[in-house]
Amino acid sequence: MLAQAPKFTLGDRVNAAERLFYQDHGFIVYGAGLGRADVETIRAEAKSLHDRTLTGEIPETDRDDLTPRSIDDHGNEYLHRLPYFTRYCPRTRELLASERFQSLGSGHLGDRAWMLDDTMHGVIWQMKRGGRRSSYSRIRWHVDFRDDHPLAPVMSAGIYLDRSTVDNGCLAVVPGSHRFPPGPSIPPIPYYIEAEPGDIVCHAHNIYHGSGPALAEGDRRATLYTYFCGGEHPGEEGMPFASDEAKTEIRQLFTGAGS
Amino acid sequence: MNLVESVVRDLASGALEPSGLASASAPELAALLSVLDTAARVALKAGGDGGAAGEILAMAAVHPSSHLRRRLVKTVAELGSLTGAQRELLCWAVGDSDDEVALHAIRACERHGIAEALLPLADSLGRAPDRLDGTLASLTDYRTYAAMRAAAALRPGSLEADELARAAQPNENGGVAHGHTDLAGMVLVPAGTVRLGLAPGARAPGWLLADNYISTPRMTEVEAFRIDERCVTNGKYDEFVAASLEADHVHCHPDEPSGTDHARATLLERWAHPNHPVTGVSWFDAYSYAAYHGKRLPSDAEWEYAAGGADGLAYPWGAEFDAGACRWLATTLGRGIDSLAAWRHALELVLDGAVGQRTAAPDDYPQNVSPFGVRDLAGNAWEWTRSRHLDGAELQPRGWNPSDPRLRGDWTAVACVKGGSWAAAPDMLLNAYRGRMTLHRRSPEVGFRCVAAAAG
Repeated sequence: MLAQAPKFTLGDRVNAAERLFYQDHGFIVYGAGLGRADVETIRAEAKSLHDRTLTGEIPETDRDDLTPRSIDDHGNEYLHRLPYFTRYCPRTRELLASERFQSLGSGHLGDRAWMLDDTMHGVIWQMKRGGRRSSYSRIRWHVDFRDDHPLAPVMSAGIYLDRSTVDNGCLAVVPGSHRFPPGPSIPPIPYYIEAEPGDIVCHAHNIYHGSGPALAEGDRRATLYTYFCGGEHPGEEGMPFASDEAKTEIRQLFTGAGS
Repeated sequence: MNLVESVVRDLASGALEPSGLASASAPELAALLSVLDTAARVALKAGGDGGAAGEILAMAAVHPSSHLRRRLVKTVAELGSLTGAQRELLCWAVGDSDDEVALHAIRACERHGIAEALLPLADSLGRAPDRLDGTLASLTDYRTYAAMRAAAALRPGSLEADELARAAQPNENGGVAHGHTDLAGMVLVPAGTVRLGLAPGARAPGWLLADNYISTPRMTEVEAFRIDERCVTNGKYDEFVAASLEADHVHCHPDEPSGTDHARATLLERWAHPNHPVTGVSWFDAYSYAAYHGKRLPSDAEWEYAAGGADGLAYPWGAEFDAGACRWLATTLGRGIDSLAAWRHALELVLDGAVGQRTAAPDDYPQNVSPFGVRDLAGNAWEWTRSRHLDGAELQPRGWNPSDPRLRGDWTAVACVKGGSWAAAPDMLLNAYRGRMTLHRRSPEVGFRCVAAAAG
């Protein structure tokens, strides 16, 4: 079994030890942050939204434009990202609005923290998948936002819906890189975060992270990403990936298994 | 050529080489440093940042000999007013791998109110300067405490400054063929399914926020091994240094910083008696010693198993904390310490140099023995392991030199240390507690013991 850092237990509020760990390392993992029933709720709503998007029921303005559709070995189309998740999934919206979940933001970013929602890159379901014709199997090293972004500081809180291991391309971070960024002379040494369904993995906006490929056809890892922000809402035009130029750059992060 | 010029010449030419200093006896070393001390004072008294004074500062600040660096920084630290170059030297020395060098610099920066020291202090703590507020819960040692205190002092009005003001008074082996492994003084620990972490129902004293510094509770399989009954002593370590000088680092870790001089940083300390646990050694020093003797450092799991037995006792002696059972800050100072505030207050005494005898002989606390008969595990000296602090995996150093600023951002260069020291708080004495220490540091609180294969 891969050596792992401690997983914390999400209580009613973030405690000082958790804050300290997050400040030091730039990430923190809450084991079983959501129970099995809640994970099933999100999965069920994701499937519904996925199918509704494929049938064209969801307006184009609310569909992902970063990752192309993929085809599985049975010839079926599938999607990798479902934005505006809480707009179309009311039960998930209710889950995320709970005081316990919201305490993640206020606990780590302070009382001013708010959750980015109802925008293209707010609450978003994301799935990487193996297979020859998957257009998203891995994601290159990157940071989510620079420190000077209006939204910053930002904490991503990913709710894991599938088991995630090194073998199926789990998240890798460079601990501490939110304070000391690696560069050409500092090759990043990854720490691999293995997670179970229901775990919540939080990381800082400027920690270096990525994930390796999911190779086998059956490999898949779905996560519901949320973003807590300590900065200012820049308006729709000022959102992270509003410009075509930014979108082009971001698309290059998502790669298929063969890339 | 006057004295200053001759010292500068010797420094520049490498005449004051690490090996020369390492092989010097303690009296010879003391005499040499006294000369340097005088030279430095003369040069500094001459004033100005240029010329001989600047040369001495620049070269001695990065000299491989920690004794030299310590003497220089101490001399500068004791000056009444500082020039720009002297302030710069102190800021640089804040991050020195030798704790005593760093401590002089840290205290001087605080005393002189050197605002530009805030960033290197924050770097040494692994924090952003605006993220220094909070608790002292990530503390492993008093150098870190000193850095936190200095950083707080340089940011008046911070929560930390207020809090500290209330507390303060007017603180595997290299595999080299060398000979057979000498198993004398080692205890056999049998294979087994062992409990790590705190047993159900057990509680930490709770003075520190130890959640992320306590082993994750789990059962694990451990193969049989042998472990030193007692820590490596100063005497044994010095014998190794002398004997290994001819070996040209063949026992050393391949990623050990170039030019490493394995002389312990506590060589001139009167409290570091020959039969006391060695301290002032880096992880690389410990690795080299172990490899030279055909042994290696224990993993964190091996150490914890040796300390707590198969049932995972909270302390080597049993389930409950016993304030008189080992060498921690209370017994070091000979005074009661019954709270976090009292412990911080007592650390101030350490920083003020009010502690005479730091370490103790390993058998001074007869209760401090584990179910397997391993002694002096709790307190006295933290012990290096071969495990990474974050995740317990085997350490794989990357070869940074101690002065390389990239080292501060390298999470893989932080080792797990176990057991607590003569300056510890009770939480640190738990078998399951996992302290953290960057590989290159030579701390007067950290030593080690070795393990070997069970078969020998």
